[in-house]
Amino acid sequence: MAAPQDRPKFGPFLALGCFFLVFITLPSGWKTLTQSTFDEFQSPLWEITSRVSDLTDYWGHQADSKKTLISKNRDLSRIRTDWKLQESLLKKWENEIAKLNGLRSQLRVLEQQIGLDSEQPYLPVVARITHRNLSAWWQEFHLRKGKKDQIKVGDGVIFHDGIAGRIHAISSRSSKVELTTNLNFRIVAHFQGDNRPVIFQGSGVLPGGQPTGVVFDVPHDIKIIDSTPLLLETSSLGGTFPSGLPIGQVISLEESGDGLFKTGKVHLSKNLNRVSEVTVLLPFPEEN
Amino acid sequence: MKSSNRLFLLFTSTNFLVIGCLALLNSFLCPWGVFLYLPGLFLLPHYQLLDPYRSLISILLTGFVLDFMFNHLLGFHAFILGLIYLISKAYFHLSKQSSKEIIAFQLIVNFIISLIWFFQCGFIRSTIGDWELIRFLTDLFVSSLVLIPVSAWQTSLSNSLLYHFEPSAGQAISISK
Repeated sequence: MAAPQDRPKFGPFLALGCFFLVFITLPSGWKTLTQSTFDEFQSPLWEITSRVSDLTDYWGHQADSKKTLISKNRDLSRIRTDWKLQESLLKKWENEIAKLNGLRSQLRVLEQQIGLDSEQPYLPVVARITHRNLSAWWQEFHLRKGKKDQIKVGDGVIFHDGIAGRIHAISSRSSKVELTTNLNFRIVAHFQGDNRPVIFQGSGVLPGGQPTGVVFDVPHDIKIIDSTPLLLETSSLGGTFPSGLPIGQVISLEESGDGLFKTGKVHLSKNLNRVSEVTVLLPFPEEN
Repeated sequence: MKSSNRLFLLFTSTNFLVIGCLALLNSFLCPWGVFLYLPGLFLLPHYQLLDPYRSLISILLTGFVLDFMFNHLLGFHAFILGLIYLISKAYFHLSKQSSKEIIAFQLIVNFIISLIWFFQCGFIRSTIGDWELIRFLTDLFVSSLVLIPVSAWQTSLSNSLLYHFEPSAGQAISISK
């Protein structure tokens, strides 16, 4: 007969089993509440980490060599020259703005006359990324701005190479961006120079860091000629982004299973994984 | 505060700290399309110093934080790590195992959990994203390579913290090299 200390103890197994049962029967609202509480708790920690990183970067530049400073000063003087050139053209640009505003008001009148929905204006909010989470199954950024900056779930996020994703969770001082590479990210798009709508969906990041996506419902007459990729752009039909923003390049097209449309592979900008600052597009209130 | 409660807090907070470091490291590595997936790292041999219930609570908390941080199904790591800990509890003998054995154990646990998560991703592809085979193999290979030095570092970090905060328990540890 086994000694008492050799007998397996089932107490902890029972405790784990009971806790598991309680956990799976808990309403999902409780779990969501716990998750948002945890987000609120951890977001200041990430903000501190991000600010420390910015400060380290700043102090790192303090120790730049004379050679680096001279080269940076040269770049700066070039930018200043360009700035002065732009300033001298100020009068011209003001005239252009007045002309464009006139055209815009004419367009609005025409849209009202034929009953078209007008293009929704957006308010840009620049936000820094605190950290990235780009696993194979989920890709997201954490931003330093949240509810306090009027950001809402569903707002579009763009960067210098095109669209980055949309806000999917938010707390008071931080928010999470679901990236365009995410499998749950689907939007209406169109090819450059072709207004017919197609569907774009994210499909993850390949080893090596290439962000990818898939395009569905592509009409048969759209072809890739001489291996030149086709540019995929956002459509105003989706409502999240203004029309004409780059999504990525369609590198191949093949017949889809139904035989009615084509399906293609999309390569997004590699800078999507490296970007440190993005712009959130807040829908502009109608009355303003 | 009781010694066992102090140890519980110490191990749990060490695990939280390692999760935070891992998240930062992944944030830095992600442009190269690599994700370090190291759940096996959190089955510390030091749990031998705690009673099973406190160890289980610590592992459950660690698992939940891991799920929150890396967008897994809530509770996946908490219950898997808890179950593996209870099944393999007989293996946790600080004074009897070498650091190589600890690393081997964590590598095996890491492989098992990665495999389960890989199949889980395939089954519920619509809810969470897909972990494609080629990416799975790359991530698993890189994670296993990284786990070896990180595991040694984590064990030594836990040892030093233990010596600092709980010298009596720290003296009981003698992990052979």
